[in-house]
Amino acid sequence: MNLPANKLVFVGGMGAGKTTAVRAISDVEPVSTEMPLSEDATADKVETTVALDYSSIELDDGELLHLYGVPGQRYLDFMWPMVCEGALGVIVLVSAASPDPVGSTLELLQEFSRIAPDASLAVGITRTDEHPHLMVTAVRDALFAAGFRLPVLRVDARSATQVTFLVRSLLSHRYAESS
Amino acid sequence: MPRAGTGAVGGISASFCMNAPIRHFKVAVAGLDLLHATRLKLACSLLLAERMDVTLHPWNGQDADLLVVGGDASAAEATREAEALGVARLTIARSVQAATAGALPHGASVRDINQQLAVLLAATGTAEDDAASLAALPVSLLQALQSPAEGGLLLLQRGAVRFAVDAATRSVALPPGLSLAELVPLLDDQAWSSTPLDAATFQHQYGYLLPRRRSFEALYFSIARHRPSLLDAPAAGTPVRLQHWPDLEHSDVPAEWLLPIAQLHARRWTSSSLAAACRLPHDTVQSIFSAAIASGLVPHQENTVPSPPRSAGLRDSRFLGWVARRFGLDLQGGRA
Repeated sequence: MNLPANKLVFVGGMGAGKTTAVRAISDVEPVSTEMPLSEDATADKVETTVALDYSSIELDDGELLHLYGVPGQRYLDFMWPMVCEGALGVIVLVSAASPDPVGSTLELLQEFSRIAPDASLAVGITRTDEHPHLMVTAVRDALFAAGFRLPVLRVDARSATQVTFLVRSLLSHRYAESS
Repeated sequence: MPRAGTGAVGGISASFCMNAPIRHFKVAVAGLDLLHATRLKLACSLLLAERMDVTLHPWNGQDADLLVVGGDASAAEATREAEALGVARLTIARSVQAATAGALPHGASVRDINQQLAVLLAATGTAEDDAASLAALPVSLLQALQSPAEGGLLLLQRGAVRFAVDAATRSVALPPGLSLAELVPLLDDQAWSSTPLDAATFQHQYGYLLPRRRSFEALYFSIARHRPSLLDAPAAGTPVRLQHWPDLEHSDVPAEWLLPIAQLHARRWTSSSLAAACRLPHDTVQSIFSAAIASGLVPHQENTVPSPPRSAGLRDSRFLGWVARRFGLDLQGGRA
C-alpha cells in the first residue's frame, strides 16, 4: 500500500533548535527521549540532550502529520532511516553559532537526500540574533555549489510564525517541484 | 559652488535647505593656542546645522580643505606649505588688525570663526561634491552598486536612521531595531547623506551599531512588496526563472508570494501564465518578477540552473494540500 508522505522531520546538531521548532508548531506537547550527552556538547547544553522529539498535527480530515526532531550526531544515525520513511520533508536546522555551518549542513543534506530521496529538503539557520552578521546567501550559494538548490532561510525556532514560514516555504517548494 | 545657508550666523540659517545632503570637510590646524583651538572646535560643531560636517586634525602638509593657522613659528611653515598646495587658509593672529576674508584678529569669537569657516569651506566645493550629492539617492545607488566595479561600503544617514550598503557582499548593515519594511518607505527620500567607508573603518566605528545583515535580495523583495513603483517593470512576456530561493524572512513578503516564488524556482514562467497558475493578480506577479530581476536572481543563461527530476510526483498531492492548508497555505489558489 502506497501511503502518502505524512512526516515532517527536523534534523540538526546540538542546540540547533529542533525541539523548540517542533514545539513551536505542534498541537500537543512533544514527546521527547533523553539520551546521554555527546562529546560535542556546548556550554549551554550540559545536562541532557534530546535524542528524538515526536509530536503530531491534526489535519482537517482527521489525518495526522507526524513531526519528528532527530539529532544530527553520527552516533544516533541508526534512527534516521526509520524516522525518514514516508517523510514529505526534511528541514535541516543549523545554528549560526556552529563553527562550520556550511560543512555541517552539507553533511546532513547529503545523508538525508540519500536516506529520504522522495522528501523535499530545506534549511533553517537559527540563532542569527546572536550572530547577526551571518549571510544566508553565502550559506545558500555554498550549498548550491555543492549541488543543493533548495530554500535556505533564517529562522527563530522559538517563533511559531517563523517556523511556519519555513514550513510554508518547504511545502511550496515541494508542490512546485512535483507539479 | 552655490549652497544654501552660507549666510548663517552661529549655525542658524534662515535660508537653510532641509533636503541638502551633509557635506564633509577636513580642516587642518597649525599654531593655534588653546583658547582659539577650543573656539575653533565649537565653531566647527555649529556648522553641522549648516549640513557641514567638519573633521579637525593637525596640519600634516596635505589632505585638508582648509588650514586654520595661529601666529606662532610653526604657523609660518604651515602657511607656506598650504599656499604651495593651494589649500585655503584662515589666519587668527595678533598681527591682524580687523576681520577680513581669511583673517581674524587675536581674540576672535566662536561666532566670528564660524562665519569665516562657513564662507571659506563653501568656496572649496567642487564638482565632486555635486556628484556625491546626487549619489545620495539610495535606490539609484543600490542599482548602481549591482555593478561589481562599484564595490565598497557606503554609510547612509537620514536623521536618526542610519544603515550601510555593502556592495562587496551585496547586503545592507542595519541597526538592531530597523526592519526592511521601515527602511523601504524612506528609500527615495532626498535627505539622505552618504559617506564612503572602507571595510576596516566600518568594522571599527559602525560594526557594533549596525550588526544585522540583510541581503540585497531581501531588500528588493521588500521594495517590491511595499514600493513596487521604485523597481523597473519587467519586459512583457519575458520568461523568468529564479536561480536560487530568495533570502527571505516571514516579514519580508506575504505568504501568498511563496507559491509563485516556488514556481519560479522550479521552472520558467511568464508573468501572465504564473498569475493564472497561482490565481494571483497580475500586478502582484509583476512585482515578484521585478524583485527577482533587480536582485540578480534571474540567470542570463538558462542552462546555469540545473533541475534534477523528482521521483515523488503527485503521489502525495491531496495530503500535501491538507498539510499546506493547516499551515495557512492554499496551494491550488496560491493564497494564504
